[in-house]
Amino acid sequence: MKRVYHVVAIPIRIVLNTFGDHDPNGMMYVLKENEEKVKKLVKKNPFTPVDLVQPLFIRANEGDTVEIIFENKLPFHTGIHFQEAEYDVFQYDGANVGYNEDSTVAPNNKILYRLHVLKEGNYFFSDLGNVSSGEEGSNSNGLVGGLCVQSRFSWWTNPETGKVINSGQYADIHHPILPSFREYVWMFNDEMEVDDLTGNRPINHFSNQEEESFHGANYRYEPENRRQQLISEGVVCPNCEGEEVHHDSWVFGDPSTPILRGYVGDPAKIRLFHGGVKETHVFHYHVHQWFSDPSDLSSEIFDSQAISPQSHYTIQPLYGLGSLQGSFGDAVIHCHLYPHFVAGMWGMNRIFDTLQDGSQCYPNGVPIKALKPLPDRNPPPKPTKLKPGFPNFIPGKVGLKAPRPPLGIVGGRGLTELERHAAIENPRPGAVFTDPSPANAPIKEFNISLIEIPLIYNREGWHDPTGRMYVLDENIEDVCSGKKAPEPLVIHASANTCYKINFTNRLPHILDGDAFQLVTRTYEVGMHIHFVKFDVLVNDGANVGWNYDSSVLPGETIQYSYYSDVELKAWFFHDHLFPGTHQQHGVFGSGVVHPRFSNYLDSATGEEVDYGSQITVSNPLIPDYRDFALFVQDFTHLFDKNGKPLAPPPFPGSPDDPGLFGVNYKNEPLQFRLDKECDPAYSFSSFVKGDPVTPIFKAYEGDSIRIRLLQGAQEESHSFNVHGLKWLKERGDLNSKLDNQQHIGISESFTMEMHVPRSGDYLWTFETEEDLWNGLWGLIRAYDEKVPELIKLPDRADPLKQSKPLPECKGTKPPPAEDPTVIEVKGPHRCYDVVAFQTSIVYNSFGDHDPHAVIFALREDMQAIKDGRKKPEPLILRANVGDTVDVTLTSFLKQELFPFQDGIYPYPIVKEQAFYPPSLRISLHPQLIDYDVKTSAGETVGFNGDQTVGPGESRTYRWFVDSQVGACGLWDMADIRNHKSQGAFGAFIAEARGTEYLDPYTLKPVITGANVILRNPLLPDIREFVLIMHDGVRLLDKNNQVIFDPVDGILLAPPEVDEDLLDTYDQGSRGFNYRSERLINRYEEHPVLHDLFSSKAFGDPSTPLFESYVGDPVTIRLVTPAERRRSHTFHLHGHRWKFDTKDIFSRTESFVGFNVAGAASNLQLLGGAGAYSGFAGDFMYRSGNIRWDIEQGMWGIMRVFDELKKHLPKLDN
Amino acid sequence: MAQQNDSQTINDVRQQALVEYFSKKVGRRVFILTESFPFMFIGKIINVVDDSIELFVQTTSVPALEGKTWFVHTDAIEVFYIETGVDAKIPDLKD
Amino acid sequence: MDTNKETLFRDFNSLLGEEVLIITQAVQLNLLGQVFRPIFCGTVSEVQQGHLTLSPVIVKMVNAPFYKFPFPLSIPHEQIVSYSAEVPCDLVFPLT
Repeated sequence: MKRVYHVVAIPIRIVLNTFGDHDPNGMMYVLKENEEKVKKLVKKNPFTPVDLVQPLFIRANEGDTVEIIFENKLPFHTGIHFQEAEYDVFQYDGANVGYNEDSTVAPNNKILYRLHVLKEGNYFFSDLGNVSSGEEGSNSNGLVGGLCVQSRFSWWTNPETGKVINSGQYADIHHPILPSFREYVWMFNDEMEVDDLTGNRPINHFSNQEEESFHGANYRYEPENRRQQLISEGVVCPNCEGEEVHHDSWVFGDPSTPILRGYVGDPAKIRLFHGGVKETHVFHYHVHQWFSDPSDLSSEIFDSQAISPQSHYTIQPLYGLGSLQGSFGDAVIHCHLYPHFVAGMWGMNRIFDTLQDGSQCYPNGVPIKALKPLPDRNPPPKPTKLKPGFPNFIPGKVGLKAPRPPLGIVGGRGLTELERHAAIENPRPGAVFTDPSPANAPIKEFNISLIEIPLIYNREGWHDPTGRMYVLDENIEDVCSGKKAPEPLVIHASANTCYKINFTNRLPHILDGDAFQLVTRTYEVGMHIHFVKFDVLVNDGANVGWNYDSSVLPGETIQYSYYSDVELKAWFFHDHLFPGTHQQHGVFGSGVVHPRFSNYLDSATGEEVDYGSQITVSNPLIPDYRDFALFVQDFTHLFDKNGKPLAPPPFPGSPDDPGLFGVNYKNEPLQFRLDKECDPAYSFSSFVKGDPVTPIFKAYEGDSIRIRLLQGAQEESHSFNVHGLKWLKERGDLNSKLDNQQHIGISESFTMEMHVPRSGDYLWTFETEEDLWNGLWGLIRAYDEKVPELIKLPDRADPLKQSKPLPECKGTKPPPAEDPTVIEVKGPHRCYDVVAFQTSIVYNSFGDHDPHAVIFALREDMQAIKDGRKKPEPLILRANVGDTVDVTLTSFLKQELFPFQDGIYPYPIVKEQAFYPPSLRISLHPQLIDYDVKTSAGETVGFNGDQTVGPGESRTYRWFVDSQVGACGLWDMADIRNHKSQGAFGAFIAEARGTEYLDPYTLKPVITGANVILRNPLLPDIREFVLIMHDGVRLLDKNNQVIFDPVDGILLAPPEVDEDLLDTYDQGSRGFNYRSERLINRYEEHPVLHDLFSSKAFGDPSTPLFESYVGDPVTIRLVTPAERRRSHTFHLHGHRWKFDTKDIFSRTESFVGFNVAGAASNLQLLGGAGAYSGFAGDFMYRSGNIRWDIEQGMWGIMRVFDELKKHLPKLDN
Repeated sequence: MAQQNDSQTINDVRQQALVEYFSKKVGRRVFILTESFPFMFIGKIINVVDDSIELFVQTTSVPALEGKTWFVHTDAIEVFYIETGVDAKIPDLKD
Repeated sequence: MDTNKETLFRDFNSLLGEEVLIITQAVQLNLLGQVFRPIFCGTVSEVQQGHLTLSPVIVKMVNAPFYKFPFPLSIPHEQIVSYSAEVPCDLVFPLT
């Protein structure tokens, strides 16, 4: 079926909330039929949000052809680029790329885009006519939208009126044979320009400084600052502080942000889009869980999901609204990054239990809009006087804080009459209106308190004087007296447990002020939980909407009740009343729901325990395992031993990236790990400075282990890597791919299940440069012989008796690792001779270059590279499954060629820079393939021997390709400050057995290269394109001046760029494969924004140009070995692939999110080059981050020909 | 009703009964789900050939496969519904 | 001829008009992109030698666990992996 939409891009004032905060230079896509109406309404309401001012959300059905008549009424060229869709790239790309036709539109002109939507799901669209990341850019000002593609034969109606609709963020979707569902579109927006009522930048009334940047959804935000102002001015809620009532509708009424309305049990889909330009957000939705991949019932279950710019998911809450337990009330939806939450990035899902026909009112007198019941479901009961339904039975007072729940607080109140009529038959503390637990579920009781205690993070005395942590009541004394080391609380129970929690607030009323924060009254706290089933009204541990405030005052105890219906991951818990103020002090913990019938043992003594971050689990039916919980933290407020604040913000209370990092309240900064000779190569060695204070997870060789990965605080992305081990990406799915890296944002939870094949010390890291530098690493130590401090797993054989003393720290260099090549090789054997040396790399034709690069290359290519006969490229090695690979590495590093002899780079910087002189030793560490960490991990870790090489020295690593994992990162681990972002990385590709690698132009066999043909007797010829996405590069321009990217690369930059705009981890230049096509260079030559990707105007970009013919099988290997914490989205125009190449059930996507250090993925283009429809032309590959990647050069072209070219032999398929 | 002889297992009998049932419904519309791609067939029963059903397929999950004759192996039918003319109809699905 | 081989047929006949929960073989089924495990609950309206029919019938979808399917569904006996007549169709239970 053909569907036609007439879309207009217009300038519009976007009012973001009822306080009159607005974007005066807003831009939006709107249906032609609404254009005049919306303009009129905005004119009439200059300071009030107008419903029609929302990102454009349109719909179609799978299989439709969608025609967009696009009209541009903005004063510059714009277009619409659609992700996920198939279209003729030459005409309909919505951009001006390569040698395609320009499919952007001049002001006051029109164009037609024709799209084929082949698959149900989310189709993000945005402008590519003006990719400036600044205030003049189109995307941050709102020129984004979503096309929601439904199952075939669907139609959609307005949830309020039941009438058919053409666009809008809320729709009820109907189908002849599938359930009707509520469709809610939630689009994150960030970094929009905001003025207040007076036309000035909003000021934070507390700090008197400019407010944090805009973070919202669907062009709305509801900042804490604004609501707090009403308190401080005495309008509402006397004696309240602010954060604890930020989401309280009793005090403020409902927010301007989206409220997704439905009835208990309604099926629903949230179409989640990231329409922002910069930040990776974490979407969290209280009460509900969903499959990470809705098309795959064996995929992971999430209740928090990170999302990076221009990516998208469908969130399909399991069991419909209110989840399995049928909870009703307000379930807050928010970005879990607290500074964003506080800035206003939240809304809620309002679940009614009674029919809303438009005749009812909220407690504050605001009418409740009608809501049509879904036609295939029984309507809920009508409200009556005795049973008025949510929220009208709750005994709150408008203008005051929400009431406390009945029954929950020890010594508190019972139920009012109205509450009794609304309650379940036998209400109990924590389960009053919904009972999450079956009657006979075993009950497990925990007594938990929140306390304040100084936390010491490392041996240098870095500490948080106002640490705050959850602790079991029976351990308070031992923790406070120092008998027990403080660690985040992890409690253990099995599936089918009814949890009874007695939670006591033992915090002081006041969180003291210091260089990081102003004095704040954090007088009430709670324990909000993820994943488990509960009654949201009384047990959320939060204060949301018209619900109760389920927190307690100092000295009080509240009883909570939850139920674990199935084996879950580690569920996260934290305070929801003042998390923005104190969660970064340590207010987080976890419960792990294990398989039923498990027993939990202290790993040292074998005694039964029910808490601890490192335990041993025994089960009668499944293999026993070690269970390790790891919490990463940022915004950690630390002082050194002399009381000097470390990395303090510009002023107390600033959300501008304050503080440092931790893991389980510890860190082990590399600056303190230097040996006497100050060689960074031994920073991870325990021979030199002993074991790190960060967690060392202990196991015996052959044990199975589960790592529970969580992030406790506060705003940033982290990249967890385990060196030398791997796990299934989807734990419940044997068809899933292997991984050894995981991106994480706050509140996400991942379980990695694996076994430890050999003894040795395995390094775990949060791999990005600044994290690792500041101490986010530790070890998994696998013993080959019995040690007294570790029991064996009960179902495994006794370990060997101890025959030799354990290695000790002697303060000296580690001994060299054994030579792995003395063992005879069976089967195919492949050898690579690799060298590391310094050279200059030219990044583009404009002369941007890195004169001090450190690279790996094949020895046979070294001279040609040095002479300039061969351009440096990242080293790419390949081998086939079954191969044994010996890689001999030789160092040719020279002291004098390092630009900063103290290792302190003036730009780009990391926090807490310190003396760390460049190492002349180097190593080569691979991901995912198999090797003995004691000889071939390409790093010197723990009590393993030295595996780095000094100048003139060589060492051979032996790797086994045991699985066809495809792309693996490859990088140096000898000096993460002076080598890696300087170019010491590459990729290793594990190919199918029997594969040959051919040059695509000569068809001759090749040993390395980013562009090859894979030839295999059983498979079609495949073009393989390797893209290495990297950042943190220090580039000089043609005049040898340092390029201060990203700022130097901003198009249409304001005269003065606010320095605070930039976090440390945004610093540096970026690109693909040692190349960067920075748009600013092009703009200076030809200042026409929409032409910047055009090869007609500039010739082809310097980034890799990958050529193919229509229909050629193409696999893109995408790796991100380096370097910074900002995660990048990857997007290839006009193509899609399976999210997991190993799993045919997995979702199809046109993007890869979370490209941070250690990320690796394999993209098999569906339909081959040109996609199923076989379109020829120039397809842009690029970052999805408008701020600050595309401008700064992270883009290139995949060229697809439809006729034979002399220079490119066709594939023999 | 399918008759069971001594060499037949109960499985054979049930399979045969299902085939016979479909044979009696030639000309009627049927809805079939299979675990295998393309997962769903809606169409008219044309014939039953051995243990396969010959269908004129009006709708599947993939438009390109529609308007064609297909054979579906009865063993692979996970669930189905054949219109009786009296009870509920299979909806006419329109793009 | 009669053997105990046909007891299932008789069993289901005795369930005519009763509610029964039936689980079939497939790992997952796919209805226009919506995937679900093959778990069906409904009233036995017809029992034949090769199949039975549930009408009305609920399809247990993870996002809509009580989805009333718009027409009856017939299930070949050979596909039935397990069934119970003691699980009421309105019972709430986890599907993951």
